[in-house]
Amino acid sequence: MKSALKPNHYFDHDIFEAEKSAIFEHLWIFACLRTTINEDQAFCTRTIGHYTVIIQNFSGVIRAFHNSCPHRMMPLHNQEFGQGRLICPYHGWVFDENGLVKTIPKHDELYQFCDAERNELRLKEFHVSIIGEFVFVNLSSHPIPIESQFSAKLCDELSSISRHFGDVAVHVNIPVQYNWKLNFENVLDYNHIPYVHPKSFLPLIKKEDKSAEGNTKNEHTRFPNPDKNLIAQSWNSTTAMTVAHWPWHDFVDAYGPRDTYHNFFLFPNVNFISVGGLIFLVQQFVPIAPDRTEVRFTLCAARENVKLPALPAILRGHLKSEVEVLFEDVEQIEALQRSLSEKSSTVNHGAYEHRLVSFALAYLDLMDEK
Amino acid sequence: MKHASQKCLQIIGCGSVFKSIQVDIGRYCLDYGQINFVEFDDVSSIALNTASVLSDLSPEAADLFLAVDQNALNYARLELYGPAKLKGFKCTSMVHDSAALGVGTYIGENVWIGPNVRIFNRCNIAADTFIAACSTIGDDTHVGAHSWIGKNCLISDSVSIGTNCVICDLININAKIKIGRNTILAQPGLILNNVQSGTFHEFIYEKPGHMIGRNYSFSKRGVSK
Ligand code: FES
Ligand SMILES: [Fe+2]
Repeated sequence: MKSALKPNHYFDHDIFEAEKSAIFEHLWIFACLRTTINEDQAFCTRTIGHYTVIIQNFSGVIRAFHNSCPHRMMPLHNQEFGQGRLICPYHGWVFDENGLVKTIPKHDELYQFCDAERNELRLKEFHVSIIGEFVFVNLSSHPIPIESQFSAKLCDELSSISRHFGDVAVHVNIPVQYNWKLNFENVLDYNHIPYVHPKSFLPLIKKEDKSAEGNTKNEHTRFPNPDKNLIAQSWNSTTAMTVAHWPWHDFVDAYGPRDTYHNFFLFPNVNFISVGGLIFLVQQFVPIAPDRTEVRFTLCAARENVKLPALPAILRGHLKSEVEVLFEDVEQIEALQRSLSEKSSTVNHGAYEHRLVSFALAYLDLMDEK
Repeated sequence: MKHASQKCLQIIGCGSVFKSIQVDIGRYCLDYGQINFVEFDDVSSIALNTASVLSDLSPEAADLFLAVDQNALNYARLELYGPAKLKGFKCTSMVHDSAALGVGTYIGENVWIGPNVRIFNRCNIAADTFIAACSTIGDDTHVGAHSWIGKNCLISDSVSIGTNCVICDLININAKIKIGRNTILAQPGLILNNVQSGTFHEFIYEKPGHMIGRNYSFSKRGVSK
């Protein structure tokens, strides 16, 4: 089956620009884990579509604002994760939890705004929706209901698993040289694992269960027909996996049975996995340019029942091995990206790739709408 | 209470520091009746074997030196050091006779100061910290417990390094810099800015990794900028 996507969907600048509004400013986009901003005035900053965004905790309420001061457009926060009130570093304007300017130093002397002008001096606010510990933002002024993007079952499972997240994480941004869609397609394609990860990932998957979709497949498997509905693009599965036992496992509140690999696909650009309900990793493929992506890894462990002094070392060790597996993919996908041109032919999908076919159709639907 | 010379010293561990001490033990000016080496196969066997190795020894008869490299932010060494302290053992420090320590510099227990290390005046090297060959530390610098400074580093004056840090070989740290706890600096070069706790500046990452969340990117009191 030919893919509905053409080679230029992976390198064309105009298409890339159109995706910003049609996909990233239209859908609910993962912003951060609530555990990483779980205190008054803790924040994270992101770039989504055309906007830089602050996601900040105000006495437990999470709100999102354009990270751009209405005075001279200076970003209010520059750190990726931090804690601090909404104060502009340029001329010291202070904003309240509604994004409205609260204090303008030397107002009467220097600015002399009338009341009507002053009421306009606010940060643009965006919609926030939280599923378990997953914080999503939507940049549209009239967002689609989040229930039309993620099914109730998926939301339930995300909530249950994320109830087990510990309150520290390790985070890294990895710049890669390919289009963001290639990485989402790559994680949907479980059949690359034996070829790309023969030593790192394949040995951990239990023999009877080599498919990422959970069910043992054989030659006569009938694969479902592609489904281009938005809600069908986000789903989850489990796979039997060998999880080596470490002493710290006995001291955390793990989710579900040990020998299970959980795999969540959150359209358009998140793959969330868990090894044994012990380690949780959110991978997000953030578009930077048509041929450049930032892979954002946020990794945490199950919540400690007793304090684990070595937790930083545990998280750092797991992050390193996950990044090593990613680099095996990156090597291949960067080669693929380099080889793409106007002259490239169209992808031929087999039956097992129905998820990739669906992804392409759903993507094109969204692109057409705008 | 036995005089040190009647006691025995057990050097327990594995890795590069363990081996370098083993071949060079005569250069450490130790006052013990007997010195024994107990070597683990590798760091992953430490957790499994610590209890049995320590149960054969008594704090009255033996002092310890726990020699494990910087593995897992030095927590591998802490897996030995922690239980040893709980059992009441005294841990000695090992200072190579080619190293030089300045006036008023304090060295905690289970500290290793390797060959040709120079530490200037009024420094504080907290317990269970290792400083490898040919590194230099300026005046008034503080190195937290369970840390590691690699070979040929130049740590300037009034620097503060947190606990469980790994400063790899060939790193220069400018005066008055603060390095937070649980940090790895693995890329040789000059450190000119303070480094937040939980920063992993390793070769595998083009941009450093960071611990985020409670007591890293935020705290109950608020993070002072
Ligand atoms: S730009 Fe923000 S106060 Fe001037
Ligand atoms: Fe892969």
